[in-house]
Amino acid sequence: MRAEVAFQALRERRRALLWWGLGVVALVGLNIAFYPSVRDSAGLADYSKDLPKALRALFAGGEINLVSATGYLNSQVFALMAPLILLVFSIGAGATAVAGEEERGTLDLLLAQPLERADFVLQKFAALSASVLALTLGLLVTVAVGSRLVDLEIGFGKLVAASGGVALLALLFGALALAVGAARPGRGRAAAVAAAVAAASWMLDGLGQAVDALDPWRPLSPYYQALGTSPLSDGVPWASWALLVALTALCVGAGVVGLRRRDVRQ
Amino acid sequence: MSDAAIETRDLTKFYGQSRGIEGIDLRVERGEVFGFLGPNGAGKTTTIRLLLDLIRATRGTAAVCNCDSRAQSLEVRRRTGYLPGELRLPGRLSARDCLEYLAHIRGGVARNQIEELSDRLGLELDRTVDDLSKGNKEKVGVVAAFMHDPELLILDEPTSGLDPLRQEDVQELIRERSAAGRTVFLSSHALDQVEHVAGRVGIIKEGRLISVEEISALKRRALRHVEIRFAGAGPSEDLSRIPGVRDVSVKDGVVRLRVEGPMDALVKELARYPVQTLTSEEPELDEIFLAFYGRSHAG
Repeated sequence: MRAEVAFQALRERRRALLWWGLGVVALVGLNIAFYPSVRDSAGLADYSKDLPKALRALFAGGEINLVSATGYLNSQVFALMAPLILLVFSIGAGATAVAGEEERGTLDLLLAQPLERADFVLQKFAALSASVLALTLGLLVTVAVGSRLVDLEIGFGKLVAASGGVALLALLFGALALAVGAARPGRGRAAAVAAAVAAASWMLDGLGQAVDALDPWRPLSPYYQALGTSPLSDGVPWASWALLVALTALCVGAGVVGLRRRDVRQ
Repeated sequence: MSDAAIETRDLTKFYGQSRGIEGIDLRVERGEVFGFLGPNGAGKTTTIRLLLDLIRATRGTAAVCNCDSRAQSLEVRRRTGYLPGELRLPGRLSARDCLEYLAHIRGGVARNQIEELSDRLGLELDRTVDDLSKGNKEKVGVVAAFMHDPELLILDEPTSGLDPLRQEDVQELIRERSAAGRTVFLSSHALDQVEHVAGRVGIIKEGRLISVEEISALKRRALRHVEIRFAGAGPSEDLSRIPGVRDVSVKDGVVRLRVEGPMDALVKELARYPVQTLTSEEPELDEIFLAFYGRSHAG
């Protein structure tokens, strides 16, 4: 299989990717840089006790132990900020992949070439995966280097587990946006659907921790599968990762079927 | 299957309730230049996009180069070169990169084809596609359609946006490919865009193919608008007695009339008077239909 479409997609996105990468490094790096001052201020260690459980769950992954390395990294980086950045990027890129090409009017010319629609979707997904992987590497390196600089003690394997979870989550919703845009015209709709499902998944996991009635449903949330299982302390949740990969593959497959069945807009 | 370059049977496309085309039975022979004429919105682009499997027929079938347009679409697209009517090029690329991108998707094209075609059309390959004028973008599209020397060229309004000189370049390219045995399917809303290259034309109106004619037959019957200004006294006799001349009107010393078929008799008659200017306008497509069908419908 050739890869021109994938390379072209990366080429079109390279500048944006650079800025997003710088954003990840800056935001995550800044957060980690504050660790020493937070650790040394006694009052902050207790403030989480005053927060409602639901808020703690949503915005800090359940625990706000800012003194421990895992607690700090989880609440400040992996519970919300890193997934948010990567998801916004990935959903945007996924929605642009097919639906954006269609809105620009370039899909007509591309699909009039000897290029299978399935091939086109797969190459677009490959480019999306490469972009998300690049941002994740930026995240991982920043956290690993930053942690060392501020004596935040955490094993590299645990960082890989958490970063990998963020990447798989971002990729899943990026693939969903890509699939919606492949099945129906419209970049806005594709991004909106993926963002809504992502938000619902995040809410389900967070509220599930606070509301007992929702707790049994938490495993349905991709967010829970990626990050709710405490990868920072427990390492890679292999079964969850497999599930996320399978769901992503399902989205891509649906995108292929969706695009193959329909008319291309001019 | 037959040996036609394009053959459609009952090809029909509805967009929801609104009709795109209906019941098109079209046959284009290998090696011919076929003009596909119709006003905007008549269904030309719909037909072309069905041939390339960009949209799917509600009913009917189409075969292109002996391949089913649906089941063997990849092969169809391999053998055709397509210039879209509404051309949009992948952005942020130089014209060269854009063309090489499309060439790579095809699995490569013969060396120098891009350079040669661009030279002929006066296209600067190093400029960014986004910065090109409409005409120059159109040239990129023309090169993309021709660069792999396809069996069949499907050109949707190929000369729109090009200045007259470049239009001739494109027509010259079409003639060359035709002489080399390639088939060209050329859509346009104006007869003068196809009459110099096409052998036959199909006329589509409101989604239906209403006629396929030799272009010479069509032009023989076409009504031309002629406007004559005389330097001195005009003809005293009634010009409408000249064969083919009708609808003569005189106003402020300017004579307006319409001529069906050859202008020879009229010109010879006019030569007897001091003609200052004589303009002859291409007939509108609608008028060709009228000339062609008004009579036959009347009986």
